[in-house]
Amino acid sequence: MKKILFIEDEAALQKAVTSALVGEGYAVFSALNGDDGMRIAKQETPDLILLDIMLPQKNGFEVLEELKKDPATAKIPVIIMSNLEGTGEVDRALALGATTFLVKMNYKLEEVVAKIKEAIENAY
Amino acid sequence: MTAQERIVWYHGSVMMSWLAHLNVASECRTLKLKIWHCPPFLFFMMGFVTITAMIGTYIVASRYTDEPQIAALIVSFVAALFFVVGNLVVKGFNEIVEANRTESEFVSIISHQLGTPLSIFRMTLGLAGKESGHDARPHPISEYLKTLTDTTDNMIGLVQSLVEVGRIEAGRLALKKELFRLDALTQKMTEDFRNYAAAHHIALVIEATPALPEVSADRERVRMAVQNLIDNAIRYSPAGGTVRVVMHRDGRMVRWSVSDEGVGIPLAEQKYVFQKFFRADNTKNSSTHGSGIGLYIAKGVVEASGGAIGFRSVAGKGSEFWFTLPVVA
Repeated sequence: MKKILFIEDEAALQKAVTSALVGEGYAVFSALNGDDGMRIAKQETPDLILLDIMLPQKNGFEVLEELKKDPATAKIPVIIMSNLEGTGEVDRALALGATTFLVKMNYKLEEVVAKIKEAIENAY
Repeated sequence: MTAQERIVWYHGSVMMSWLAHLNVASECRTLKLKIWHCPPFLFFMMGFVTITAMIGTYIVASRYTDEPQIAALIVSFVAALFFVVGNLVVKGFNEIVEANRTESEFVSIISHQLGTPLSIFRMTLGLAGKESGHDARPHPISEYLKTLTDTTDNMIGLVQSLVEVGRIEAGRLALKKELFRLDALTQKMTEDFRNYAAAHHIALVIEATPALPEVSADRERVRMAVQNLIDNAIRYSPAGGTVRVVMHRDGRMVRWSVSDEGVGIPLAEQKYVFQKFFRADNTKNSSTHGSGIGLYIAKGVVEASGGAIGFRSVAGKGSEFWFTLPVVA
């Protein structure tokens, strides 16, 4: 079973996406802040990480930078899911090694799930 | 009416139309500024003071030619008056700039703050729709969920438009350079508009010269602009009317236009048409519900793509909106 780590501080959003992913047969680990996200990423080495940018403690960019520096987590594909949609944010996330940048507001649940499936299939 | 009377009548109506544009009081009301803080009024006053001072100086100087200090005093007084009025003009402009800045920040904050809860609505409704779909029996909850999903999608569309307004104002509209044909793009969209036009009892006619060249622009954003312009034309047309879309090459540009037989835009309001949140007075009480930002976005996108946008309209008769986009070299 493929593992997904979802780092998102909005519990309601996390619940909706997690339920949909579990329904698709994925094991989903959740973190509500950047520090917990980093800890779980190292412990579980998931197949994909879904990462918000505006997070308490460490923000998404810091988490992404740390993930890509650590050889144990560097190869895990990271999808950024945020409502910060400026070109600056998108460029920065991609430069730091994110696979895709999804603007939450622009995607329906099934489209988010499809993007995640695609990213996992392309990675392996 | 003799030929001479016709000429006098024509010049008279041209003068009246020019004076209508000088309606300073209504302009100040639109800018939401006090009369003594309103630049159009203050410039008008400056002109008035200048002319009065010149005539006054002439009369006084002709009477007291042996006392030139009086003329000098008058000139000093007028200069001091200019200084005061000039300060008021600058203050007025500052207020407009400040109001625009506050409004832009407000739009940006609201759009971003609404984004997160709306995403939660959409995702949760998506999940609920999936769950209810497992039940084979038709259930009214599925209908309720569809209503909520459609409403959420509409709200997200509005917030996305506000985000686009923010990008245009900040000058950070990142446009793609794609090659496509405007006639193909319009034809494809027309399929979606057929039912909408039929529901309004409007005939939708598309005309394009053969072998229209490709243009270079951001296809999705141009599609949004075309959608907005056709939607407006149908929305503001009375039943039984015709909406006509025409495309042809115009030098190094392709010209796209849509004309309707709708309510038109009153002359006094035409200069505000491309301002954000503008809705003409004669449409505010109608059953339509535009947000007044579609044309502002269309202008931002077309101009940032190297094209131009404009319109002509006669109240009660109809409007033609057009834009041009550069042909691929």
